Amino acid sequence: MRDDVIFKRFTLGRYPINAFLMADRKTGIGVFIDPGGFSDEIELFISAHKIDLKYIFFTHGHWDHIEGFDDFKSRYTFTSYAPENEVEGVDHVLHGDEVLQVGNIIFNTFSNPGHTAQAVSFYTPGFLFSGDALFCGSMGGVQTQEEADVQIAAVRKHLFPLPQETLVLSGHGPMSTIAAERYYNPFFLEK
Amino acid sequence: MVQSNCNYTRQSHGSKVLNNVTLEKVKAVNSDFSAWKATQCTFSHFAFSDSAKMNYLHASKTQFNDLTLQDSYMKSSRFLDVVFDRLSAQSSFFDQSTFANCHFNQTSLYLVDFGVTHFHDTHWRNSTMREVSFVGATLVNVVFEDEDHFFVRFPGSLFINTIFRRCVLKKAIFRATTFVNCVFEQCDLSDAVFHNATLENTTFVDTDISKLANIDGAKGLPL
Repeated sequence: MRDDVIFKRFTLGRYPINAFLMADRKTGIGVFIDPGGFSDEIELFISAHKIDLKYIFFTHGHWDHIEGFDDFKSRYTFTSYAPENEVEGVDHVLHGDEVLQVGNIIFNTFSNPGHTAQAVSFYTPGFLFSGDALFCGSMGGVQTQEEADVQIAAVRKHLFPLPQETLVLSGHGPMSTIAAERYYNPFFLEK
Repeated sequence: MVQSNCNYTRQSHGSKVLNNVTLEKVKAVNSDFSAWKATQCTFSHFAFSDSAKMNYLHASKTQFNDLTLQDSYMKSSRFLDVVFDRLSAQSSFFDQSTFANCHFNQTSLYLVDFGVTHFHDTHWRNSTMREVSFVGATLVNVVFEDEDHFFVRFPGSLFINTIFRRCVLKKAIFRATTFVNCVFEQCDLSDAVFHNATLENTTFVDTDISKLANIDGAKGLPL
């Protein structure tokens, strides 16, 4: 568990999602991941912790993960990042091989298509923001078996090699760890 | 020794050994109490928040009253003969821990992780759980009684000699779960998933299994 970050999960939106705020304790610079809504709780938390919200990251472009984007725009000045062709009006597109810096926090992005065509995850040591690619004991829905195969392969290739103690912070449902998902998630076990 | 009304913010306490100590009304914000060892202690009205940690805790013959965790951690810990009365946790982690001969009374959990945790001879009574994870957990001689669960996940977990009595288990996920010598008695299993579950010598008493959501690949369901 890292002491250098401020970290908070929020439940947001009409179809509730997990959204996450992470900020560098030293500089106060922060990022909000998947703004599926907005709430007074977010505003109060940002204010109480004196967070300078400079970035918005999107794991993918489904409506339940982006619905609060305009609310954030009206309140904060930030730079936004999203997978290519998934969210309108973002400043930068992601392909899943980037390194992003938020204050002193370094994030790596990983490509995990399937649930959507260009979905990505964000990793910083100790924390994986997996969007809907990997859930606790499950995975985000796909339309075809081919998409399922692509998603399973990407999760196995990019996410499961991460340190086993890494917290898995998914777009829906409870949190988990890489160790639990790698060895017990029925969708990803080798047949 | 009794100590009360302590507030800790961003403090690290290092390893401590407590014997027969009572701690009351402790507020811990982003503080670290990891690697404590507590024997015959009573902790009352502990509130952990903002990434507070009590990881690697070894607690035995100890009582927690009104322990509250918000965005906090009690990971990789061992609890032996421990009673939790009115534990309340949200967005918090107890994963990879062991609970032996423990009692949970009137627990309230929302988005809490008990992944890869071991429970032995443990009794849950009158809990409310919403979206809690027990992925990969092992539960042996465990009793769940008068529980109210919604969308609690047990995928890949193993239940042996475990009883669910008068429990609401709506939308429970028992995907690829193994049950050996277990009993569901007067339970509500509406929309529960037993996809690829294996049930051996497991019985359903006064429990309707006609409203399960997905039983594809399940073995041993008495259909």
